[in-house]
Amino acid sequence: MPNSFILYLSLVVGILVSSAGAAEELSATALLENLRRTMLERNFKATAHFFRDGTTTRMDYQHGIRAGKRFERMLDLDGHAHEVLRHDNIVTCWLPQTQRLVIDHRPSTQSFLMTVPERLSAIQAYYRFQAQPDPDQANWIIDIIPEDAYRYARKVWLTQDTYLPLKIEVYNEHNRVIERVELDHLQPNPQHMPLQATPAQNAAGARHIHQDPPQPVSQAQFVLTQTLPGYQPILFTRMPLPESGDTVEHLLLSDGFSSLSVYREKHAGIKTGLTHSGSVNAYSKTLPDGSVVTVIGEVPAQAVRQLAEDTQLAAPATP
Amino acid sequence: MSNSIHEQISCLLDDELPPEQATQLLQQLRDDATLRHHYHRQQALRMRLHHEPTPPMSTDFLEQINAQLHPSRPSMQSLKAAGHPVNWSMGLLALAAALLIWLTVNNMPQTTSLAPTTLAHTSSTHAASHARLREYLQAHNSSRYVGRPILLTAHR
Amino acid sequence: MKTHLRTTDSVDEHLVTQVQQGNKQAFDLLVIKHQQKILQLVNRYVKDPGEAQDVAQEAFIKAYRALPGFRGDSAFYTWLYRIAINTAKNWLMAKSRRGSDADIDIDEAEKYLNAPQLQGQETPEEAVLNQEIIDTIQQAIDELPEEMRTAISLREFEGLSYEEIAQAMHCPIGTVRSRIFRAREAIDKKLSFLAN
Repeated sequence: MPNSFILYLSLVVGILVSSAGAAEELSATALLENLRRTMLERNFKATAHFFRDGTTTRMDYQHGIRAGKRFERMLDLDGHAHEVLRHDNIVTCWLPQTQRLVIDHRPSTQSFLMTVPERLSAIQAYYRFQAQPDPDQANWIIDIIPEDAYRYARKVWLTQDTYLPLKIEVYNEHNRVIERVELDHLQPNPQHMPLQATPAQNAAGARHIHQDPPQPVSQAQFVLTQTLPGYQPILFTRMPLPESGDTVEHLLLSDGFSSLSVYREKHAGIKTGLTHSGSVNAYSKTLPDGSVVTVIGEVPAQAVRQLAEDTQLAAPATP
Repeated sequence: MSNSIHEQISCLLDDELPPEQATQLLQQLRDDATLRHHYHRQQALRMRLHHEPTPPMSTDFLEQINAQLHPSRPSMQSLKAAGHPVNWSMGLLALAAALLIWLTVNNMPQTTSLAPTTLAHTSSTHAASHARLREYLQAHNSSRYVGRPILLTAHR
Repeated sequence: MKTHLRTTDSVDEHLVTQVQQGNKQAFDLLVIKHQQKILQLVNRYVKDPGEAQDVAQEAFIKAYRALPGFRGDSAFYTWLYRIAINTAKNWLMAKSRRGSDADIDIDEAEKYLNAPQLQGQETPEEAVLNQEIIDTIQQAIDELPEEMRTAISLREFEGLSYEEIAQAMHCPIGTVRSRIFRAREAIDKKLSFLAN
């Protein structure tokens, strides 16, 4: 067989293989974009079963648009009546048993069910996406596979016609399920979506999170000598914590699917080292001035440890 | 999670599943940490019914044994088990990550037990540290963590 | 008279054979099945929860390494429990010798185990919590519908098989299975509430 023919054959095969791969990736990306739009723009309700950090919670879930603004609501169905409500960008958590009201002012457009990045093209160096039809249910399954050890893998099941989420699983480094959200009694465009009345946001005793506007990251008294690949700063702020009221510096980073927070404070009372529960890992270390920096989030242990190790005190400002 | 699998777990606790079904269910428990947690919680509940103590148990009890018995095994096996397409680069990456985690992290993460017993072993220093981490989580993602019990445990 | 055959022995037997034939993953299933009981057993000797976990894991590792020589003269779990007890006793003796990890004589360990300072003592806080759990479980059982309460009581406190319960309650085995499952779910929910 002449060498030129073999070369030609391998070129043709190579082109066919690479274009098939591109089509598959494009399809998965398009599905994820549809999922994102559905979760943010459609009216739907369901019963959501969350398995996180070793506990299972059943919540009534609603999402909709009213007067041009998004609302999203989760109501605990297992006796605690714990309610989480989003109205536009403000998230209110109401705990009737303890009469506790917590209001988070952080601007966030994401769904309570799952975060899907706005620009998937920006993170394709860090994740691979693969889509396949679900053989039994005629739904879609999307695999979100990390390219490094700084994030978890995910798998999403969604309806083929409406792109509504059915199930979301998060896998640890050993590819074992560590989180699951499963939706049943799913109703697209429900006729009736009662919006439970929650206590007024100025209720006495309400605790606030991120009440002050974010500040530039350069204001932080710590620096990251290296950031984790693919993670971008979302906000930096100095704020009181919701229970103790102690002031901390808070930097939030995200790669679009996963997020982690860096906290620094003088008297944290935190034991240094690595702690975890379910998908959450945290790593704390003491800085030379005695303050404690903690990196925490739903990411592998390696990610929090590395980012904490790459966190140093900022150089004092020159006069 | 479907009730039927939880019902099967209940039967497994009572030794009332046919052997083949029991083996299949145990395989499912191995591959799904959430189900495994449920099974061990139900076992703990049975012990409590008989007024027996339920010592806290880390959820990666099995992984820690495997890390000592065959340190290079977990990733490729579990990739297959979880139904992901087996891809060599992904497998090697997961293997490297797993090895690194085993080498650097070591043991004792979250526990499976009936919560009050676990809390009884928590010292006040741990309690203060844990309370602070809970506050951090609430500020990290309020919709997930406000009002939700979460117990972060230290790696030894 | 019980006509019911327990599945534990046959499942264990099958899995042990698999391991002996080189299927290492089959051992995972044996660990998952028995780990809680083994940990509970070890915890009677080793009071520190972290140490108890280490000792329980060591027992499984010893069992895995000894499995090629296991001939099935006794049930697998009986053999495993014996390994776990010996591992725990070795650990206690090693601890008493300040770090020596040499194997010890079992009789010597028994004497050591009977020493009063090693008998587990509940702290007052633990005692209160444990009593609260017992009360909650009792309350949860009392609040169950009668069919569920009878089914779970016959299973847990009388040790009856599903078949025997079905005969006693004049209902199909599937109904017994479902009643016991729902009873456990209800008790678990009540306990979760206590934990929260």
